[in-house]
Amino acid sequence: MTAENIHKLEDPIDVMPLMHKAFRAVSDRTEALAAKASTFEDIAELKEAFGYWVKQILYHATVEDEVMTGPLKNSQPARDNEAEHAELAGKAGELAAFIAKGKAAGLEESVRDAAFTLEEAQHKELEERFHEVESALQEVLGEKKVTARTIRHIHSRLIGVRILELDHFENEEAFVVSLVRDEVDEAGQLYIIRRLLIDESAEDPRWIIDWVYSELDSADQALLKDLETRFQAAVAQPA
Amino acid sequence: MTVEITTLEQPIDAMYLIHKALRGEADRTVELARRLENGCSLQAFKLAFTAWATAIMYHAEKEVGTAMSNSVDESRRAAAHDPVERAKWSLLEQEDSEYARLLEGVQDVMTVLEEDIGSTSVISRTKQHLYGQVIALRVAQEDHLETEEAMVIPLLRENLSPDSQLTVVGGLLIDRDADDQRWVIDWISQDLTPKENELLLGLESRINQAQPVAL
Repeated sequence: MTAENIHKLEDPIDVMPLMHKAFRAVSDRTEALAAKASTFEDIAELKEAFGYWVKQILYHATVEDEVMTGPLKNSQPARDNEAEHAELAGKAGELAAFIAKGKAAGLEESVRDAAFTLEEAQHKELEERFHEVESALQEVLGEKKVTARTIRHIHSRLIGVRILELDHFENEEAFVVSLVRDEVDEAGQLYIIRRLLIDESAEDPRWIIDWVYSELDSADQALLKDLETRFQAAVAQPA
Repeated sequence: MTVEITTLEQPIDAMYLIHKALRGEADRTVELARRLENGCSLQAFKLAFTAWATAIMYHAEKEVGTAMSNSVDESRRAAAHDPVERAKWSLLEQEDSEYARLLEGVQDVMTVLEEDIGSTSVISRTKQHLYGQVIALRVAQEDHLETEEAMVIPLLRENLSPDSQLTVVGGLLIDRDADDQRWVIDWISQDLTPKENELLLGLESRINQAQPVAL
């Protein structure tokens, strides 16, 4: 099932493509910000947008691992799903660390990447001169080009994270959602979905579901509203 | 914004024209990758990418280990005491590995295309992966060209005589092993303004006078 052809949520787990649609929207928006960024101030805006995306994806992945795939013992698709979460979190974390390095991060990365392709002896020699080469390039290129290089690298890395995310969603919708539909009863599915959409530990427990609503069109919002009514009414806990 | 190159003060400045053509190929390929739609043909993308990859591979072959790095008097390197000058020499040394990285990027795109072999139309996953890989290749290329323009070309200007520069540039612009030895010039020319094409033709005459093309 894809997000484009949902008319009715037969099973609660069928809401997953709607949540994925919200993630696609936020990742598309963040990539568009990176594509048009040109100044250090733009990087700060990008940092905030990417931070929000990462916050959402980390919560989503952690809860899925805990309440959706964790209980599915002896299931390779479930383990693959968890491994994809770990890879996605790893890449997102690397990008967050890269952005935090500041405007010369791209220059540092390009100088070091080139060095790592050299023979070990050459690499050791260059290692000693990394800062000299970086400083010289910074001086000759000037701040504008140094910042532009970092933005290029952020954009490319961001696309890498988005691709991992999209591949993961596609795999999850193809292999895991159907498994959950078969293996978990309706009460259990409602519990999973409630945990994914409502964060009881947060000051504002609705921070996820309200964000998902904001990313959907009115038809999808109606489907989600119907599901919310169902899981709010349910008192069942997973078996 | 693309800046017009209005003069070639020294023969090595022709590198800026070559870079302009490489950037043009990259932009066209990225734009085609961005516009790929599910179910559409990959043909236009493949043609654009092939042109870009051919240009990168040709320049890797011609620049790596050739006159670019070999023509320079090494004793001048030892005399470089200024940190910026030392960095320029280090970066000239790295030209080989820089091109190796670009060729890896070309291979990464080709791997996605090979995985897609047999299909006549693009699927969402292929589209995303192609877009990601061509963006990564364009970033690697832009880093390389920018560094070459800031550090390596000025070094060659200062350390190579005009005749030596003409030999280096002649090696890049005239493919003496090809049936059509002017194919590089024709390829560059598509991304140049009329004024830039005049500069290129002028340089071609000087190269041919210095090293006549065998017919």
